[in-house]
Amino acid sequence: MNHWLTILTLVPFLGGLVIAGLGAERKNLVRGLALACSLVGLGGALCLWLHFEAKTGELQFIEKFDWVKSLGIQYFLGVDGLGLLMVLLTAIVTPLAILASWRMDDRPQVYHALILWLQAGLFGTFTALNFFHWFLFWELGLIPAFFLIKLWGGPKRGPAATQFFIYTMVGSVALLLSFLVIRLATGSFDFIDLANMAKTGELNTKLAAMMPWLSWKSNIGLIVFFGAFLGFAVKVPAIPFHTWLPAAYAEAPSPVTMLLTGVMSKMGMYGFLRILLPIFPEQIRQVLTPLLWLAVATIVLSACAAFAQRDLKRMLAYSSINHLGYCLLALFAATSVVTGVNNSDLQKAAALDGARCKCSTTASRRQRCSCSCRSSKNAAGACAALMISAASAKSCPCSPA
Amino acid sequence: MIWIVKNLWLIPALPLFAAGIIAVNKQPKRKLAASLAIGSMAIGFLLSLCAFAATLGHGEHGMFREVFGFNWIQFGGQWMDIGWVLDPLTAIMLVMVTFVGMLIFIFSVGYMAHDENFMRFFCFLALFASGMLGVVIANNLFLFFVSWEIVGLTSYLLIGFWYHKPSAAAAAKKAFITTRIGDLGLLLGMVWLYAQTGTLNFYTPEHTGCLEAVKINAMLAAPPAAGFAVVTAIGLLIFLGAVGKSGQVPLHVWLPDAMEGPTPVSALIHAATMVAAGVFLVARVYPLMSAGATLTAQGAPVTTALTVVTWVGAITAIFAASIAVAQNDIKRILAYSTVSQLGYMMMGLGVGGVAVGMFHLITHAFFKALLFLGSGSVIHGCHEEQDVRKMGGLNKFMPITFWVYFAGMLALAGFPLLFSGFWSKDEILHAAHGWSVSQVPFYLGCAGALMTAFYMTRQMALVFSGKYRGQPEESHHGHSAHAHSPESSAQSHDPHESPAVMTVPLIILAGFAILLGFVGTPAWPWFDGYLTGEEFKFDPSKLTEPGTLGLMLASGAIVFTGLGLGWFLYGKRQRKTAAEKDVLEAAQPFIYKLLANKYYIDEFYEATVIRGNAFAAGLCDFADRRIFGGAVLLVKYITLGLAWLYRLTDEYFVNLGFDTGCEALREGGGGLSRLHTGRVQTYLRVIGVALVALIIFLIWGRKA
Repeated sequence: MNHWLTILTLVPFLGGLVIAGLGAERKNLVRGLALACSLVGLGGALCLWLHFEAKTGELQFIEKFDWVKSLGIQYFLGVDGLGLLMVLLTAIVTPLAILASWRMDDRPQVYHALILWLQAGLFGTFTALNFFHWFLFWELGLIPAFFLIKLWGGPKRGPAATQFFIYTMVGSVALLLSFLVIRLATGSFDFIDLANMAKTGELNTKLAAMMPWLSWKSNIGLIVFFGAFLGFAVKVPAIPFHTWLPAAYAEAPSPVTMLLTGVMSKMGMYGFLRILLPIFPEQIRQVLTPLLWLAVATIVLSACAAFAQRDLKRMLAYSSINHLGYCLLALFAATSVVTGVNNSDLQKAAALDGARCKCSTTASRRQRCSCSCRSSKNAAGACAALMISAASAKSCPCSPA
Repeated sequence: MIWIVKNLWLIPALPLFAAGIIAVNKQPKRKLAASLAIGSMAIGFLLSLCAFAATLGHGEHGMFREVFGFNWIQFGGQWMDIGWVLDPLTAIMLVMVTFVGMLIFIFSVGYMAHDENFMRFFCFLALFASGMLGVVIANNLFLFFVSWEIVGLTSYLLIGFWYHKPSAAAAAKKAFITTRIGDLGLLLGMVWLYAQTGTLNFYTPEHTGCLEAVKINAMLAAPPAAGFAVVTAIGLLIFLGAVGKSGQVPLHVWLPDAMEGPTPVSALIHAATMVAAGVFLVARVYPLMSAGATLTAQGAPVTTALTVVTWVGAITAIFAASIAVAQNDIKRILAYSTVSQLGYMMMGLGVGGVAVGMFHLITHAFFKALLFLGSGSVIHGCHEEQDVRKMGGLNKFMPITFWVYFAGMLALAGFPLLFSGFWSKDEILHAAHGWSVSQVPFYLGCAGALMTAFYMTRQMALVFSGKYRGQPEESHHGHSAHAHSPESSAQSHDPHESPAVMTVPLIILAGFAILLGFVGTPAWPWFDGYLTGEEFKFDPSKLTEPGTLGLMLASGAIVFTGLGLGWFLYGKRQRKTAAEKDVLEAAQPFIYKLLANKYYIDEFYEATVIRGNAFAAGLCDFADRRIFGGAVLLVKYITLGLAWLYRLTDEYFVNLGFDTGCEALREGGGGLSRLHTGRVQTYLRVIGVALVALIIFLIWGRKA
């Protein structure tokens, strides 16, 4: 049994604690420590990558302990190819964000501590395999982000931060309720268990058995699915749950926007892939057509809205929504054909988009008012790749996972 | 496999490396930048010659074709390959692009000598060349698309090179977005093609590429979509990409505006190479376009896709030529001429096949590069003046430029027998004449040829003959530091001949503009045989065959009419001042205005497409802020309202009862507490009073 993943999450968390305790006047120390912590995180992630057996594609670096036995809660960590990719993405973007905020002089110790905590939350989310602590980390990532926007943001930061927080919280509450229902029905919080149950159809039977007196009891699964869907759709975001995003991206300081768009928005996609698709395959198939239309609407409407923006960061925010729409489309399109989702395809899409957003946000910082078309060129490349991946998923018979 | 096939990637890779090295160096290393860029092109040219030599031999199917590729990206169970193909089409384009590119690079050293962003310019140029060469060698539509987009990006960067000019920035944006519309078609065609055939490789050693008979036949057998055969629909979508890139109607609007870039850029991108990429694309996917064709009498295939190509090309040819008649900017005239000539190439592809269109592409690349560089030399010599009305009499000031420009002009006009443009244009007209679907494109082509000869004569007459009409004292000098250099200060206002670094490339290009035509004459159709792999031999009697000879005579007559008309209107009677009205304007003010304003296409787009887009954007933005945002606000207010209601219930319902109860209790307690004062005296008094009362009660009460 090893503890690599726990350590990976703990490093930025403890680093944040130490930094928060330093005085504001020791700026260089604060920055240096923050950078060092994030670089340690990067090193750790790279180590994981080196020791990762790419061939098997199974969960690795597993840590599994009973935590609250009476409630079926386990401390269960592990990464597969998808999780590893997201961990790497987080590990790469964070040091860049810290470097990008090198000249930030306003309460640097708090700022950098928050960034590191945000990173810890992200690491935790991407490695957790039990809903209980997965949800803790999921929410933990939100709090530093809220303060980063609220304290260091642009002129309209107050409303933006509040909207971001409450909006995401509403989604999270729906998600939480859905999982409580699942927990009551099955007695398990374990993603892997739940996915197996879903595969055999046991999950639906159990959910239906909860309220046997209802005439529509076979649709309980669908309602639960919508709850979880709302949680992820807000995070991604899909239209019409996206209005928090332009405000938050535009008001957040650029390095934070980098983290928000580069990694945090991928949390939603990750949730779709890790949780929604394996646990609710039946329900997704039931409502696939509206979901596809939703993805298309997200793509088209946000692209159109991007045209009308005068603020470059707002424009990039809409472009970000646009590209996550492509990711969603790829995801649903793949679902429409194959039973088991071909993960490698989709994770590539997600990663590509992450990289793109990172590039464009960095670009926005450097050349805030110069040619925006340059980044759209970049976007075009990514969209080509994404569309091809979508098309390939459609056209070639992928091996069911 | 020959070594050159394996190492073909070096040709685009070298300029790419050059661009990278230039990019990471600091600004003032001009020599390094220029020598890296030119050197990479020179090596590329030598390698291209080797490749060309290799393709001269014949392969297994009559034509040399070898491919090399390997796996690149995996998605799902499938691999996307990357690879390159060496066949005559690739080889001839490689030689042309590297050679013309090299000459233009050398010319740029002189032209951009005074620009402070010299290094950046060469970095972009090298990057552009790499993208263009990538397009040429790609054996895979995906690699093709990637290179195609690099070309689009560098074109954006180079058109907007002087981005401090708002017009240049706008032109760059326009070029990028307009070509993007076409690229969307290409992208969709690509995705559809992949969905149909499962591969994007053009050719494979196993003959399973998407351009090879197996897949084409499979696509022909597929059920039609929306009234089109699948293969036709894919072909048309891909053609849409070519329409954007090659400036065909209705996406031609970006090309004339792109003249805002430095003149070598106009020559490189907008005359010789990039705009030709669209034509090259159609030539490359020609098997797709001609799939399931019926053959004409002359053996040229006829399909729906090719018919569309022909019509678009023919309309573009005449349309742009007519606009060129009424332009006054020396580069804009050439730009519209380019659009028109690209139309001819498309028409050639449509009616006659790959060899016909490609021949004109190659000859045009040389003479149009020559004309653009010549105009660059003129502009340079006239201190950044581009208006032909303010020139005149330049043959005295810049004789070399005059003679090479004259050669290029005659080649473009198609002066019979001696110049390359005549042979290549004649071949297109010949093919159009034999086209079974319609004769209209032939007549459109002839009319276009007449106008071409006319507007080129007009331009020559205005620029080089007569008296110099410039007023240099009033004209402001853009970046002409050289105009004020000490040695030329005495006569700085007079136009001057350009330095050798600029004129030598011009002379070389002029040589090719004249000679190149002879590789594709009816008597010796070497070019045709080379591209198609068919046998041919030298046969002068073909020249005098009735059909061929008649057409040659007719097109010669057309050219002479155009030249004569141009000379009669503009050369014989010179305009006196720059402000004088144009002869055509005086005669037909309405038509002239229509042409000078380019048929108001820009205004039309402004009013429809752009406004429509702005409207959609505004609508989406509105929806975002008001409808979706409004829904969020609504939820917010509902929540607030509920909260308010709860507070009211709390305060006036729950709390009020509770408070009243409490108040009563407190008051009761207060009243009671008054009894518990803790004063003994009070207690005693109470006891005493009570005692007295008790006694009184006992005494009086009993009696009662």
